[in-house]
Amino acid sequence: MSPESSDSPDQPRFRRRDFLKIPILAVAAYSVAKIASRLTVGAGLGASKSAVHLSDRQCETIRAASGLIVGPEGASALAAGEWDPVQYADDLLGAMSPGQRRMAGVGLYLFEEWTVGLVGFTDKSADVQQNWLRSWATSENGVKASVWGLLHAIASASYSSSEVGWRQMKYPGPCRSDVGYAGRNPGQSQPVHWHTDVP
Amino acid sequence: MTKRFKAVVVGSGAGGAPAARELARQWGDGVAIIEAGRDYAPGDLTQLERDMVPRLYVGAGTQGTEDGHVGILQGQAVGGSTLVNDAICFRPPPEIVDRWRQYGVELDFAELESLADEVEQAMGVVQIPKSQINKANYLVGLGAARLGWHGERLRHNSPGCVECGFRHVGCTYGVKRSTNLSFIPDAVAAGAHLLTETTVRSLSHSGDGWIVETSAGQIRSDVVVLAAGIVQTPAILLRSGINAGNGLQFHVQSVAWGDFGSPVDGFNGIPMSYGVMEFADVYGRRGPGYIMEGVGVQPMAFSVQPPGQGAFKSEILSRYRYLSGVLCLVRARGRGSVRLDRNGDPVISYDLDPFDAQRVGHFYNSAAELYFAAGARRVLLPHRRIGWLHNLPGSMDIRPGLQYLYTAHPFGGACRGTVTDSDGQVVGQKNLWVLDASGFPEALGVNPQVTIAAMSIKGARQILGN
Repeated sequence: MSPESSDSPDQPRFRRRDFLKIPILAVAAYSVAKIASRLTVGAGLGASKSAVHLSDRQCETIRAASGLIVGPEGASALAAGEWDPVQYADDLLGAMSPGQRRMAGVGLYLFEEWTVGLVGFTDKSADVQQNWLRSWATSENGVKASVWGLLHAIASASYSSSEVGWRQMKYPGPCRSDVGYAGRNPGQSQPVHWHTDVP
Repeated sequence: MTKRFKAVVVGSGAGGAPAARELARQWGDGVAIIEAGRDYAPGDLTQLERDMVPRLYVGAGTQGTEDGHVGILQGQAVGGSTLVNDAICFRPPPEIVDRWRQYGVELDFAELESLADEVEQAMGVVQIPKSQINKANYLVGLGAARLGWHGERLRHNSPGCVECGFRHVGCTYGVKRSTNLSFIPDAVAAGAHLLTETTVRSLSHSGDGWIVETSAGQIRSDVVVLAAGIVQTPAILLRSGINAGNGLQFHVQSVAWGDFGSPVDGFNGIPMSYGVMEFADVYGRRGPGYIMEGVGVQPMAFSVQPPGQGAFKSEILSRYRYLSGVLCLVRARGRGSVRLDRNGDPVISYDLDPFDAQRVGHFYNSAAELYFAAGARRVLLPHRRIGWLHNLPGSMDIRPGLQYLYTAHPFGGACRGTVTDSDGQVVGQKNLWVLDASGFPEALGVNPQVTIAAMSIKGARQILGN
């Protein structure tokens, strides 16, 4: 009979290994609470007023990652409120099938929380965030690569379809003048001096 | 009250619209066309990618394989993918006669050629004149010419194109003769009913005919033609208890860019106008099996493709005006499948075949060689581990997730020779036909809209003959 088995079942007491469980249980409880509040896209406390499918935390994650992805000009414009990837991301999620939307929610959660020391992405320093993003971009892990792909698509598409993005790209906008922009004439291709060898 | 028709055609793209026209010419208002998307007038197409991509593409352009490694671009509107494609038209490649025979499918190529003539007449297909080749595409031709590679001006169904550059979000000038402006108006003029924003859930037998379960209620029809695309056509069959979904194939596509010293402005002019056939395995060529085509460089469609972040990404965006893009269209060997999730929604599985990955790597090298020959200072690939190239990349790590791959040309899922007979009638299911690219037993090797439409007309005439 082991020494432990001699304890009376009516008098439970903590043993050393029980104490070891406390931080593990605490972390688990913390994680479960976070998962419950953030895993379901747009559900629970803190859902953004403007976003339908994203929580506030997910909006913060998307803003932070987008600024880093598109680079300094885009980041400055984001800080100045000249473009915002969140509405685009929310619309995108709205167009996804329920299954896709669920996966996107899980992906955004993992990106924010899959970290050592329980410091979420948005709470890290800019340098650490940049490295964190880069490690996901080039990861062998298919989930990480896919999540980075989603964030990259949100940042790139929303920025390059904004006027501030157009300014950086020196894109003159659509030809139509009745859709809120100056318009330009079609058929204004750069001149081509056709080489005789080109059929 | 349940509506009743002689024929219901599900889908209004390159597969559905020609069949609908043929059937309507005989059966008039006994024909209904069911389309999941809206019917957009040219004036509704604003040229703003932010507004139009979510409206015109399935899943707002986010549709892809379940692992997220290959994007699948499909139009969702009257006109289907012909509304948002780059209007490129190729004749049916003669090689498909022997290739399809391996699957038990017999084709009369002379008949197919004749049907392709009809399609081209209806869609106004012409070769793009030299005067309409923009600089971005010309540089593709120049590089090919300097390397002695076979290049050619492509053919398109936009006679009188005004060269605005916005084909991927529909033609606001009403010049591109997509099926919503060619076959569908003919079908409607002949009496066909066009039911838009209506989805089909499943089919069930009703005597010799069918009950079609739609989002707008039940419809009875003597004949049903499925042409809802390679995702929804197999999904409808599966939800109806009919075995389908296997044999999915893609043209695996990826884009490389050359960075030139002076502005190229690839957003201007006809987006896709020059092709390089050097590496094709169609029309008698014996290459590794891909064609190259110059692409349009519209800001949003462009920006999502080259990876990278921070200063590197910012520099790419700043070089936007100086880039010419060329895509590959790999006639892929790998196969995938469409199955249903627990809600009955389609899920697409696809693994990149090693041989196909090898050919994507071959293309990246070819594209770099072509652009350096044309005078590019450097070359950019959509690869997460490769920056600007100043030399040929050589051997490369091509694996799922490392590079941006997509397809605008999926095939199979309800293949002739297995799910249907050679003409497209579903085996063991009277009066049920598949007349879109989901019936193709393998990837075609060239832009498929003319071949799909020709096969659709053939199938429709078979229905009328029956």
